[in-house]
Amino acid sequence: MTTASPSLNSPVLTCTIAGDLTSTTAAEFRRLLDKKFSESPAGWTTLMLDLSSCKILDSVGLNLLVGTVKRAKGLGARVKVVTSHPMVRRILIFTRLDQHVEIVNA
Amino acid sequence: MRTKVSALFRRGPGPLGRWLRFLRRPDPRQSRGTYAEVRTCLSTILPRFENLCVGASEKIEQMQSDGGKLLSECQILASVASGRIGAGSVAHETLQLLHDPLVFIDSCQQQQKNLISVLVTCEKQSQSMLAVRERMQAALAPLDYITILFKIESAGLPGEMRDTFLTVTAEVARMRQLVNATFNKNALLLADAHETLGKVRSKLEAEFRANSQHVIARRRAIDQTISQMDRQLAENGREDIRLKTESDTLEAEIGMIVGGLQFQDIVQQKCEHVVAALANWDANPPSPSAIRLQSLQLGGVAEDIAGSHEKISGGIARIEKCLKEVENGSQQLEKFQGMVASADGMVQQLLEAITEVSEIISTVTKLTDQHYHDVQPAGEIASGLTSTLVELATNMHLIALNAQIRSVQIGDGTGLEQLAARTADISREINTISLESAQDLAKIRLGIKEMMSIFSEISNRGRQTLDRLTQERIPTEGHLHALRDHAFATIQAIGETSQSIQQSVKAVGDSIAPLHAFRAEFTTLSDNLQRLAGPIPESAEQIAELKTEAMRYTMASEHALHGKITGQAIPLSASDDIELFAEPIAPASSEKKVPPVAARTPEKSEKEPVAAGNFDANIELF
Repeated sequence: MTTASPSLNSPVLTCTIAGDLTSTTAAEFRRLLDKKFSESPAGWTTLMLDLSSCKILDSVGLNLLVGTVKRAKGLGARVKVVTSHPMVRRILIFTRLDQHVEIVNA
Repeated sequence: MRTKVSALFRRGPGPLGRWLRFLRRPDPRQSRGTYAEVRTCLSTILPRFENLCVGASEKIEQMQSDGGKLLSECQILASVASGRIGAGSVAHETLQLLHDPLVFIDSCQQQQKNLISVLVTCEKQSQSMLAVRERMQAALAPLDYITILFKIESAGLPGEMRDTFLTVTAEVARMRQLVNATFNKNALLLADAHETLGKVRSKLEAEFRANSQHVIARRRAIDQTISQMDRQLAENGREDIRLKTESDTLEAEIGMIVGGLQFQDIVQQKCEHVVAALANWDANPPSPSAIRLQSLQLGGVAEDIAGSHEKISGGIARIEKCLKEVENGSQQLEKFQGMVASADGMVQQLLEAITEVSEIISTVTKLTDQHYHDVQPAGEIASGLTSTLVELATNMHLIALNAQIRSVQIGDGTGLEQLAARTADISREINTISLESAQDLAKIRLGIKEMMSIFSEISNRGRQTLDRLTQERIPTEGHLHALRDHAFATIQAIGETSQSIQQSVKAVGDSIAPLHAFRAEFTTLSDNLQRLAGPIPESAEQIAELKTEAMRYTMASEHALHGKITGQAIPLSASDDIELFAEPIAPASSEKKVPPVAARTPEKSEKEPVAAGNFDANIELF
């Protein structure tokens, strides 16, 4: 359910989370993100997490997000989160994750 | 001239004054029509006005209910986010969950130290074992020429004696072959074992360093998270005042709007008084001043409506501003230190701790299994070589013994005795090497056995600990997530409630928009009556008449208007029909206590009598 569109030399690795990021979907997205990280060509400097179609973000989903952000930052990359839903944005601000990632309007 | 006429007109009860006032009186038929019109208008306006107020009240009630809900939600959010609700018990539960796994990891650290020590010893012993082959071959080397000398010396001996020495030389040759074969086979294995022991030691040392740093850091993070919680609870308890203040302000502003709509009763009563006065005029035509009085009362109603409209509109604007502040404040809570639900807060730290501890145990268990399998073959080599060395020493001893016995039997005069003695020396040397090697091998075997036992114990305990942790972490992680989800749900509720209030605010604004028109209607009615009114009276009869009118009034503003026309203030205490709302009872220590007006006597009072004109314009006394 995630897609990425890195070209060989693109600095941006895009991962699209299609749907809500909750306890019922987090495990699947974790597997797909792991796969994305391991299969992507080296050299990307920005991770773009597309949450445009995510309307519900719960604690388990946030845990996955935080882990992914830490992993990307451990590789020296910046992280951007794309969202348009006010609830998701509210949670990202409330949890202060916006101090570690750039929130971009969809 | 004009001034003289006005003065005459005003001067009062003289005939000229009465005549002039008669000339200026309103036309009775026209007046009655106007009174009826005003009464009819009032009777239609009032129900519409009531509907508007009821409708607005309902929307404001909804807003008030939402306002209370928002305040409650903000308090919950502040409590959850700061850790006052739920954090302590969940943290305690997590610590209990991690206690045994951390004890296991600590014990692994200690056992790894022991293992490294044993490995170092085994490595040294295996190193010395690698030199045994050379030692053995060096010790056996002289036998090459000894066997030749045996053949030469025994060549001249009788058959049996010669055969014995030939047997000795054959045995020596066989033993040389045995040594070569044994050490050829085992040299590589010994080298592998030595290398394996070295690799396992290096890996263990690296794991020990990495794990100990990692575990120390993670332990420190967990301890800090828990120990800081109490301090943060105290600090955050002070900082959530801002959010509480904003939501209190919001509730207060909504309350003000509620108060603003209470003017409906005032309008209703005033209009009823006007209607009652107008009803009386059919039978008893009023004086111009009485008409003017009612006109002013209706004008006062229009002002009341305008005032309340402004108050409500202002309140709506302030509410919108407050809502924004509350929503921003609830999202950011920027003054909070270490908010439990934040991305680097207590919940996240503990979740990560559980995951990391689980991963450490899993890794340690896997590596331990790997080390067990790596080290096991080294133990088998050791046992195989030991038996060969024992056989070698025994055989050499027998060969030497055999040579010595035969040489003694042959007697002096040959070199065989010396050769036999030399062979015995070599045998003793071989024996020593074999003994030492056997001892080293035994030590290596013991060491490897000890290591494998430790590996096995670590592996078994690791599996048990991991199984228990895997099972028990589920409910604990569930409680941690539930704590954070509680905060998220509250944030969402705040967002929805804010939205509902915003919608109510808009609805209230829309519903009170017609107040402008109502004000205009009352103003028109007031003007209509004003056209029929005359000058301010001076005659005693008119003042008396107006006094009668005043008996109907129940509000300070009505008395104030009355006082404007008569030029006199009517002391409220003079009227038996007027009831005053008592002031709130002040505390006993207050020096500003105002006793009820009815209880005051002039000689004892230290204040001026309460007069209608002195009341605050915003206070209506019923």
